[in-house]
Amino acid sequence: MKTKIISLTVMLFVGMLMAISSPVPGSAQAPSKSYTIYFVEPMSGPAAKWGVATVRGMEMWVEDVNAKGGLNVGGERYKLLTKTYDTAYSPPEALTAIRKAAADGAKYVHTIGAGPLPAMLPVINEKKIICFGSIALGKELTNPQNPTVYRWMPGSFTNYSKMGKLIYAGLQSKRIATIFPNDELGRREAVVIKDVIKEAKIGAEVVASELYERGTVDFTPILTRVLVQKPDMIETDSAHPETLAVIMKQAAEFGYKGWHSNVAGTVALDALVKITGLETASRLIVIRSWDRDVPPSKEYVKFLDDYQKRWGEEPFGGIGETYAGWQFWKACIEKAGTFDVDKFMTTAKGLKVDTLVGSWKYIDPYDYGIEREADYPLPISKVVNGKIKLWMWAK
Amino acid sequence: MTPQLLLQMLVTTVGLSLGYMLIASGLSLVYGIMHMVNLAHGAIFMFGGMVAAIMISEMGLNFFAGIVITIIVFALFGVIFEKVIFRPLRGLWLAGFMASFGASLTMEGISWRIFGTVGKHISLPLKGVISLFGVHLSVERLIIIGIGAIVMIGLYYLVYRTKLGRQMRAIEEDEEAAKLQGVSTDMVSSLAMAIGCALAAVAGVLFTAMYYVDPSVGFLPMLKAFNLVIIGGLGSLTGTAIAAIIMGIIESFGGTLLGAEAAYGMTWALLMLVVIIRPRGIMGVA
Repeated sequence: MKTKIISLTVMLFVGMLMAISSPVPGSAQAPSKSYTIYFVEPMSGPAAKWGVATVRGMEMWVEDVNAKGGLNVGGERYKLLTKTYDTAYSPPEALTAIRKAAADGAKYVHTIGAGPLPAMLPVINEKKIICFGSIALGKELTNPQNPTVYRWMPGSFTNYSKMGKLIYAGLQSKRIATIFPNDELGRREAVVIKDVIKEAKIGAEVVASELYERGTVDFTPILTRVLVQKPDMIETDSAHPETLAVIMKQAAEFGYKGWHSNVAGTVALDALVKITGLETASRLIVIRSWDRDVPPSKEYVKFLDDYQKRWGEEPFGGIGETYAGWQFWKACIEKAGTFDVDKFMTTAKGLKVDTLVGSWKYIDPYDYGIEREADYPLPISKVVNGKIKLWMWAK
Repeated sequence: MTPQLLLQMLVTTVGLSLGYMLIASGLSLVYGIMHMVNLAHGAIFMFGGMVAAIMISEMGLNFFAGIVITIIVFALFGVIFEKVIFRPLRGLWLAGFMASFGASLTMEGISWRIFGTVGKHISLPLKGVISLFGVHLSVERLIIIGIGAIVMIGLYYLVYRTKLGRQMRAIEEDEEAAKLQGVSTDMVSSLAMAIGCALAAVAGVLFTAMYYVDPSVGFLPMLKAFNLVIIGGLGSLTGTAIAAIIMGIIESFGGTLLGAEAAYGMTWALLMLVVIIRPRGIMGVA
């Protein structure tokens, strides 16, 4: 009896600790002249670093909006609220999360990850929820069958046919090795890069193609295999910032002196330099990270500094985009004068808004059949002395 | 296959196997003595790396002093963990399993708040690459292999050459008989947990020096450690060591010759084979 009481007490205590310590920084309050937007993000598990960091950035935007009086929709003022649900970057959890958001009455949702999104689509389409996705892939997700899904980052085809092509041609890369994550995104992009390079006729070819499980940190077997093909460019697609850093470090230990690129991913510069050192870091080409000396907007550098001051670490490249995406949403909703999703979609068509990352609009760059990919000036940069330096704009 | 390639794969095997031994030994030790699976082992591994990274990289502490402090801190943590979570649940295997799972989630959740989202790394004082006969080995990896080997030798000495080790093995073999011989189960369990947590934390420190640490890194090592403990035999340190060597060979040779996907599949196939053909594991007791 005593043992049972003790064990129940311990389990209850641990359960309470779980509940209060789960990383869900968003807050929910009963709306009263307020409007709630939803973040359905990986807040635990292998993609949590993106989820937690992105929610922080988006909440900074919400605070900025509320500090300036909130939303002005149809002549009424609304305080903006947020609610966050955890997908754990897992399709079943993502489905549960979007169902909870839908049950709450969510109409505008942001999510990360092309992996979990397909599981969410039936609910998104049935409930007509506008889903802003920081997602790659392409037509699989962005098509007329999913009219309420907007993408806030370039699709796979944009990544390679626009940015990848510019990078490889600019560096005169001839022998490209791909080391991609073994998930839906990585497997798809391993095919896209080969097709794009073949069509681009830039004299390059993919000489080695490897897939690894996310969470892998020792790449010596893969690199031993890949470097035998003598590549001059290692493309890592959407590697985590720290995974990218260990790949670069371990490749340098093998004597590799070529370039690295992480076209579908972002970079954490401080961590990169600490892990690889300045010299190896300078072999990386970075996309979607902006040069502080050539900022996309006046607010951008302030945003970087505010984030760093508040959280004690730099924001990843993609966080500015989510801030900007919500800026577009606000402008569109206020112009439409309503939160109605049909009016949002109609108003968004052709609308251009100046945001944190530059002028933002939605386009159909590659025959999706629907204008749902965010278009904003995309920087391609190098790492010089541990700083991001603009090399060219992807046009 | 060239001799250089073969040598490189052997060198990689040594590094991988030792890393796995370090990660898995603590888990195996705790199960052997307490018959509890500590699912918080991965979180402790991660916490160890984080705490050491903060002490060494951010506060400027000497690397070796940082390891010693980490060992002491996490040994104490292990004693508290055993008293608060496992001791009240002794004999209730599933409750202990779930409680440690809850602790693991709590620790990961707290980590995102306390430690942030950007990975941390420990830079070793010595750097460089040794290239011999076409084989490349970083000085960092060599130092870490050296420290790892010392820790494993120390563990083996403790378990097989000391009074405490004899008491641990006695409890593992027959708890009641050990009690009748005057062995204090509570004290030995506390010490086993202390050693298990310290081992996890040291593995975390070395991992952080070789690669990096962030709150998500505990999961995959935990999974691999679990696999190794099952393959080697629950509670058998020797079995865990053998399993770690086999895993290192599969990942190094398999990964290099057949690709990472094939190597990953082979590790799971090995686990399935062992569970089907010899469920007690290589050195486990029936």
